Parts: sequence; C-alpha cells; structure tokens
Amino acid sequence: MNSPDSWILASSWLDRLIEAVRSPSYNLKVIYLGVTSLGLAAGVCGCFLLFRKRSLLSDTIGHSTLPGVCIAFLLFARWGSGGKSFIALMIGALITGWLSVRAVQWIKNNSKIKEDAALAIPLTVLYGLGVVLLSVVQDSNLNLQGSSGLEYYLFGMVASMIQAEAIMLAIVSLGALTVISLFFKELNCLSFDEDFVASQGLPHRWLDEVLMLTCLTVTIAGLQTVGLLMIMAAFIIPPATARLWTDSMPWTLAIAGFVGATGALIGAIASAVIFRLPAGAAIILASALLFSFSMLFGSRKGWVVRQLKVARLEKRLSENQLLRDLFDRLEAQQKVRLLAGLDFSRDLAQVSLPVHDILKDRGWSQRKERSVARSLSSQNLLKFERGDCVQLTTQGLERAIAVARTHRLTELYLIEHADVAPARVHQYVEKIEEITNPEIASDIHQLFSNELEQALIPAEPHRGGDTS
Amino acid sequence: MPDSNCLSVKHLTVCYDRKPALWEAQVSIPQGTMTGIVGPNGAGKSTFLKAILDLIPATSGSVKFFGEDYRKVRHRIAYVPQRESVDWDYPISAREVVVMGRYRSIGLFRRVSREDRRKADEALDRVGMLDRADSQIGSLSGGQQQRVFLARALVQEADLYLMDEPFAGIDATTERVILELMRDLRESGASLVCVHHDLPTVADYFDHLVLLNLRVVASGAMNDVFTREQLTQCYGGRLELLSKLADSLAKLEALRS
Repeated sequence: MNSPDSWILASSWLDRLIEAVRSPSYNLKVIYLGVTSLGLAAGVCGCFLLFRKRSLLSDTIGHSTLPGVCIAFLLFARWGSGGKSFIALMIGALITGWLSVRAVQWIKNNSKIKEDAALAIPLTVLYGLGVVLLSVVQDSNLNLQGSSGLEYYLFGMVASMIQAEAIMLAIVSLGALTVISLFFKELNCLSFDEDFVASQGLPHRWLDEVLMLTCLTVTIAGLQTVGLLMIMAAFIIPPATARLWTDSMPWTLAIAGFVGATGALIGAIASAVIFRLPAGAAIILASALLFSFSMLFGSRKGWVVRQLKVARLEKRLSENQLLRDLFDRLEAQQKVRLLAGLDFSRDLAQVSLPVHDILKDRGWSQRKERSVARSLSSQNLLKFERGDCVQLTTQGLERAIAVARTHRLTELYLIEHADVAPARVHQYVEKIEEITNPEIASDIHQLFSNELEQALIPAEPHRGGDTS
Repeated sequence: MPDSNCLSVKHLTVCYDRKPALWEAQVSIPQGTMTGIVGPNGAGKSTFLKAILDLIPATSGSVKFFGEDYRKVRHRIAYVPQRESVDWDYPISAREVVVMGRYRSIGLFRRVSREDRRKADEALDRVGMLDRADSQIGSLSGGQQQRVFLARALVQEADLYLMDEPFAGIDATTERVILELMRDLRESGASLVCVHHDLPTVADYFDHLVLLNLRVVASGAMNDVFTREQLTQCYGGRLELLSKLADSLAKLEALRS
C-alpha cells in the first residue's frame, strides 16, 4: 500500500506547500498580490449585488465577455503586433460585458420578460457567440499565434500571471474600494430602499450606474484569474458568507472582503502546489469551504447558533408549562380562587406539589421533568421537598401567576376576536406562546383590563363549562 | 405668491403598460390638514403618491407643492413608503435607517455627524423606539418597523408628510403612537396626506378626504365628502365600466404597437 512513489509524491507536495507559504518565489508573490486584490474587491462589490438581488448579473457579464475577448484577439492577430495583448483583450471583454448589462436592462424595460430570463438571454446568446468565435480562433488551419492561451479565460489560470497583470488587479481593486467608500452612505441607502433615495432627490440612477460600472470593471479584471465561467462565485460566496456573521453593513463588507481575499489566497496556494489545478476552481472551492464553515458556526444564522436558540426557547417553554401546571393545581385545590387584591402569596407558597402527578398529561420523560424542575429551582423559583414534591417560592408563584394570566388572556382573545373554537384554543396558544413577545402580551392585557378589574386571572376558558 | 395649498394636482394621468392606472386626477389639499386617500383595491392610491413624487412617470398633468415644482421644494416633503417595499433582511439597524432621513441635508462625500445621530435618536424617542435603536430592522415587529419609517420621515423636518398605508398591519400600540404623532405634526403646522385602507376609521383619523378610484371621485373636507352617495360612487359598480374601458384601451394600444 505504502509504495515509495506515492510517499515521495506526498512529501514533495508538502515541501512545495511549505515553500509556497513560507518563502514564495517572486512569481508566486506576484500571483498572491493579484488574486487577493481580486478576491477582496469582488467580495466587497458582491455585497451590493447581493442586496440589490442582482448577484446573477456578474454571471451574465462573465459569460458575455467571451466574444469580446475573441474578437479583440482576431483583430489583433490581423492588424496588431500579433496575438495576445492583454489590454486589448480586456477592452474587448469590457465592451461585450457592458453590452450585456445594457441588454438586460433593455429587455426588462421593453418587454414583459422578468429579471431572471432577462439575465439569461444575453448570457446564453453572447456566450454562444463566444464559443463559435473561439472555435474560429483555435482553428489549426488559421494557425494564429498565441491562441492556445485563450481557454484560460474560461477556467482561469494564474500560473502565467505577470507583474503588470497583478498590478492592474491591485489598482482596479483599490479603485473599486475607493468608489465604494466614497459613496458608501448612498449606495447603502440605494440597496436598502431605492424609492427612498429617489424621493430624496439623490441621483439614484447615476449611483446605480457607478455601482454597475465598478462591478463590471472588477469582473473583467478578474476574468483571467478565476475564469469567466466561475467569476460570479467570487461575487456571491463572500457576501453570502458574511451575512452569516453580522447584522451591520460595514461589517458585512469587511467580512466579505476578508473571505474573498482569504479564499483567493488559499486557492492560489493550492494551485501552485498541485500540478495543473485550475486556480479559478481552487479559489471557488476554498471560498466554499469558508462558506460551509460559516453555515455551521456563523454567529448570526449559523446552524449551531440556531440550534442553541431553539434549545433555549424549548427550555423556557417547558419551564412556563411546568409553572402553569403547578398554578392550575393550586387553583384546582381551591387555594387560588378569586385572587382579587388579596395577599395570597405567603400561604400559597407553602403548599407542596407532586410534580410527577401534575405533569402526567404532558407525556414528558422523567429526565425532562427533573431537569425542568431543577432549572426552575436554580433560578430560585421552586424548592424541592421529600420525594418528587416541590414548593413554589414567592417569586416562583408570582412568575407562575404572570405566565398563567398571559396564557389565559391569549386564549380568551383568540376565542373572542379570532373565532377560535374554545375546545381547540389550547393547542393554538401552546404554539403562539413561542412568538408572544412582551409588547403583544401587554396589548392583550390592556384589551381586557376593563373586564378584569375584579379578577386578576380569568378561569381557564377552554374548561369554562365545568365549574364544579 | 405663496400658495395656501400644500398640494395641487391637475390632470394627472398615469399608465402602467399602456393601461391607465389614474385618469385626469384633480386634487387640491390645503395646508395644515390631515388628508386620507381612500378607495377600493387597485384604485391607484399608491400610484397617485408615487406619481406626484416622480417615482413613476406620469403621462400628463401638473403637480405643484406649495405652489412650486417638486424639485424646488423637495426638502419640505417627506415620504413614508409602504412597508412591503424594502428588504427586511438587510443588515441595518433601526438607528441607521432613521439617519438615512438626514442624507439629503448631509450631502455627498460627507460623513454622518454626531448631531445627525442625536436627531435620529430624538425621532426614535418620539415614536417610542429608542430602546430598539440598535436592533436589526427585520427583527422588529411590523408596527415597530412602521414607527422606524415614520422616525426617518420626522428627521427630515418636513412641512408635508406623504404616507403610504401607515396603518396597515400594525398593532394597537403603534396605531396610537402614529396617530398621536400625526396630530402633533398637524398642530405644529405640518400637513399630512395618507393612503388609508380602512373605511370605518377614516372619519376619526382625518379631517380631509380624497376618494379615489382610477379618477378622483370627490375631495374636500371630511363632512362634505364622506357621504353615502360619494362612497357608493367610489366603491360602487359604475366604475367597473371605467376599468373595463382601460383594459380594452390597453389591448388596442398593444395591437397598434
């Protein structure tokens, strides 16, 4: 199994990895500069695309650049100084990319076609045209010099990145970040509420144009790194990742920029270490790893945080249920009837209550019964007695009364105002309690405040019939 | 010559997809009033607000605020859009939303100052939302969101407030807060124009009324307009004809082009 060959291969990978990280060659440093600049700018720009629901526009732009690149190449091969001037190719890409943005807007404004289809039509048409042109360019009969490099635009290739390209990427990135920080206030407002920006007389069309041009430029600049088929991911994954960590726009931008840059750097290192690994794919996969990690552990909407929240909610619900059941038992024993204005709490707190018997209809496991009771006792709301009996403390009784009161008023409210059948209201309120916040509760209390001057707590409405 | 009307609209016609959504609307609203705009669903109430604010293009008509063009008096007008119009998952706090109301006076390239934030907090306090100033906007209840929007209009310190369904889908507390605030604003000399959906409350809330159903059926002081005949005319069957006419017009135009 452990053949010497594979062992040597693995160790040479490790060596190359260590070298790529600790003492990268000049070429590698150039590549690192280029890809991190791109990742940073695309991540930040992508946030605005995401919130304007235009993430797919970067995909349309990406695909639409192919015919531009091919045409520029053909023109240069015919009349220029031969082959692959990357500035010329960029300009070609910029022109068809810009055309696609205009085409999307035109289709949307002048037909009944909705945004998604309006994005797909220029994408497919221009990409199709690009594929045709690419086959012309690569026709071996024409024997055009340098045509073999054009497929890098499809999947991305960083190994051949030269200093000038890296510097261009850095400048474009810096430019994009400058534009966004200059207009942050307005762009933020535009992404949140466009009508409001318009009603304020701020130049919303102009701002939109600035944003689109910035994204277009970053897309074009990044084509050769990530490849036009996958460039959209550089705009989508980092903002989506950032969204899992924060609720503030400046932080979203910062985290998206960080994720974009880190993902790009990891991807570039991987493609330097692993022979023939396309950088574009590596960069996307590295960002996707960061995204997956955030899906699990993100502090705002991550899976773990959500599970914790659910568990906390469940715990509070169970506590309230137990308190309510204890209260019901006290009431059934005629200890808390007609509570109006009486000083009841001292005596009542002394009554000992058999938890297991009281909870028998809930169908809880013994473990759950015990843990809920223990949690209440740790909050000093009840005291354990002999056996499985408990006593409510004074605070515990107060809280139980409050819980029962809100619960019953909500039931009453549903019966009187929402025509819910009294027999079914109980099951609704069990669910509703999860979402009843203090404000709603106080509204409900207020609604009944006139009728309830006499009794603090109404009788249980769904068992209202049997007043035995 | 100063105009005693905060809003006067003449011959305003708006079309969506060649289909008229508003015909030849004529309205004058005096300053210092609280005006409700009511009418059945699809009567063009929101369209009316958006068209006078230049948010959607009007086919024809003239709109004057305080006797001037909208462009010249923009700073005197605050708009509270319908709650559904924004993305509630946006990463922004209540305070930041309110500060947006100051952006126009702050200007491009300038930063939000401490004074702007203070004014935002003041407005949040007035709508009873100061304690939730740092909450993400989507985590607030519908009524609280509406109050934040209202606070954003307040910091604009406007003379005319245009509101699209401020009372739609809100809790009792919010309804009380908004109504009190609107009355305060009127006391201090401002004018308010609200699209309203609920006929039973309209006479309690407003002193002026515009009945709208593709055209302006009636407008004026509440007592003159809120009558059985006018309401029947606005909500009744006769206007079905007008909407049928609009449909067939649209079809004809579509054939021609």
